[in-house]
Amino acid sequence: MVQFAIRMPQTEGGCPEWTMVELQGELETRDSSGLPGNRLGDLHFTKGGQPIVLIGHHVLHGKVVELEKPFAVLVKEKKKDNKDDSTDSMDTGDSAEDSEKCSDYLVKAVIRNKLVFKNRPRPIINLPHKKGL
Amino acid sequence: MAGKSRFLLTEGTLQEAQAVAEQAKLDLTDLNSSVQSLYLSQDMGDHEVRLVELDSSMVKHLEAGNSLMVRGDKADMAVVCTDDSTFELKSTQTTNSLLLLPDCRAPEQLVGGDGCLLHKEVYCISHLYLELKQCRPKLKKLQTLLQENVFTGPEYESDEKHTGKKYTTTDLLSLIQASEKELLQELRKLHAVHYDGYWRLVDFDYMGNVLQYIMDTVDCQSWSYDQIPTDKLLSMEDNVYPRVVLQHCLDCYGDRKTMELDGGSEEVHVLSEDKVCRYFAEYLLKGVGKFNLAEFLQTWKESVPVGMTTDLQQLEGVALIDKKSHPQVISHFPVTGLPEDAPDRFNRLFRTREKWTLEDITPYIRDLCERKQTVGSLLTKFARASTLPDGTKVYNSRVPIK
Repeated sequence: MVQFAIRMPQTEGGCPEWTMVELQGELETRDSSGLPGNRLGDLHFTKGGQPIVLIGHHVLHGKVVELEKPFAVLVKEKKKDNKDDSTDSMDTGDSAEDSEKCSDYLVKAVIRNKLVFKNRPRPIINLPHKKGL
Repeated sequence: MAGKSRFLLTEGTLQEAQAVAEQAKLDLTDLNSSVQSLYLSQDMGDHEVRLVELDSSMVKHLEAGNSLMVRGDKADMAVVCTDDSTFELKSTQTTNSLLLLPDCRAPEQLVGGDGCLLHKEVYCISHLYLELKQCRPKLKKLQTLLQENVFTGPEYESDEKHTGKKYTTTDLLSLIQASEKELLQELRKLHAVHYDGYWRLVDFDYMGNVLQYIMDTVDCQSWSYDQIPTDKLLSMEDNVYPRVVLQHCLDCYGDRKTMELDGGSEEVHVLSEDKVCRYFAEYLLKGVGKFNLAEFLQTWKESVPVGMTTDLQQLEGVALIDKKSHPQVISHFPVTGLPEDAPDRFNRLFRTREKWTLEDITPYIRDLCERKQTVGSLLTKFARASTLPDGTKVYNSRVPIK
């Protein structure tokens, strides 16, 4: 059996809080050349606190939603003795022997709110080619 | 630098952002003067994260410096365990794009006045997240592990029957998909003893000998079953059994109580009539197959200690009575020997007996209830109700029996 822990590193100031932006559909690349660091669009807020996102040719109106269940953003802890850890243990419980020790996962941030946007049709922007996302 | 379009600029100014907004026909007077420009981070492709939905109490648990344990079995899904609960980990795909922003400002955090343009980065984009659903821990494996080396007394520990593996609490937690509290609860239920740092199942006959010894000692000392002075018993010089084992037996077949006596308080054990009678019943039923009910009831009554009363209710989940056979018979049928998985459990029950009344089947399915389930909802899911000619309501299988 595979066993590992999910831990939150105890840092001053506590765990960072991130925000999630939820967009319908996929962000497509206009061309495959893709540049990292590209600008996605602009996020505005109305005076009433409603978010509006301008992406490509599109205007997306959204709302701020407090999540009923917060999300934890987990990253795999890098072990110093880099054992063969190429499989992601969250996906499969595969292990050849009993009780294999895997890397722990650390909570990088907690997400308690998201900005949800509805849109039709899909926005088109320049994005890095979607490998490994 | 490719990729410049009318709306996409790799660097911008507040004025440009506002111009874009105007072009999009937004009413600038209704907008907060600050704008957050979203960029995809340079090394977004390297940012591998997992999103897991947690409830607030788990977040607090983590904030306090505690861990959540993830335990994955070869065939099964992985589970997440807190100190006292187990949750199934389920992966959910979404067609939506979930952008994670480390540093997005909420509207109330935006500076007023003339505003400014803020550069904000998207750490990564996800289409997948993990949900947690509380579930029953998977404990059946525990019996299999502990059966590798059953305790039959200190004098036999080095013999050839006792070369099997022994397990500590930590060992078990790394092999069983359960929280620590649930594991310890199951160990108590199985009457496992913590001997020399290892958890051991105790041989049935050996346990009976220990129990008999305790009762004989109580009789000898003219103590009462309702008030066994724990320490006095455990400290007796010529005890035939180790202290740990005697203590364990007292805890399995009795309850601890603190008595206020002149001179202070004293810890005593109150022997449980139900548990002791149950032991004697199992002693009679084990390995016999079917026992004539009338004969069994008589023998049972005679075998229990003087002053204790037998009652068939004590055998719920332990024995099954066939009222339709002539003569009526009773057989050993412990719930702990049945499959853990609900469909398998029901299949075994219906294979043993085609139709069950609610009263008879309840002790054999009660432990299957997930958090919000009742016995009734389990029966609705796995059984079909019907009425016998005499009006009795019974349940039989919904599916062909394997």
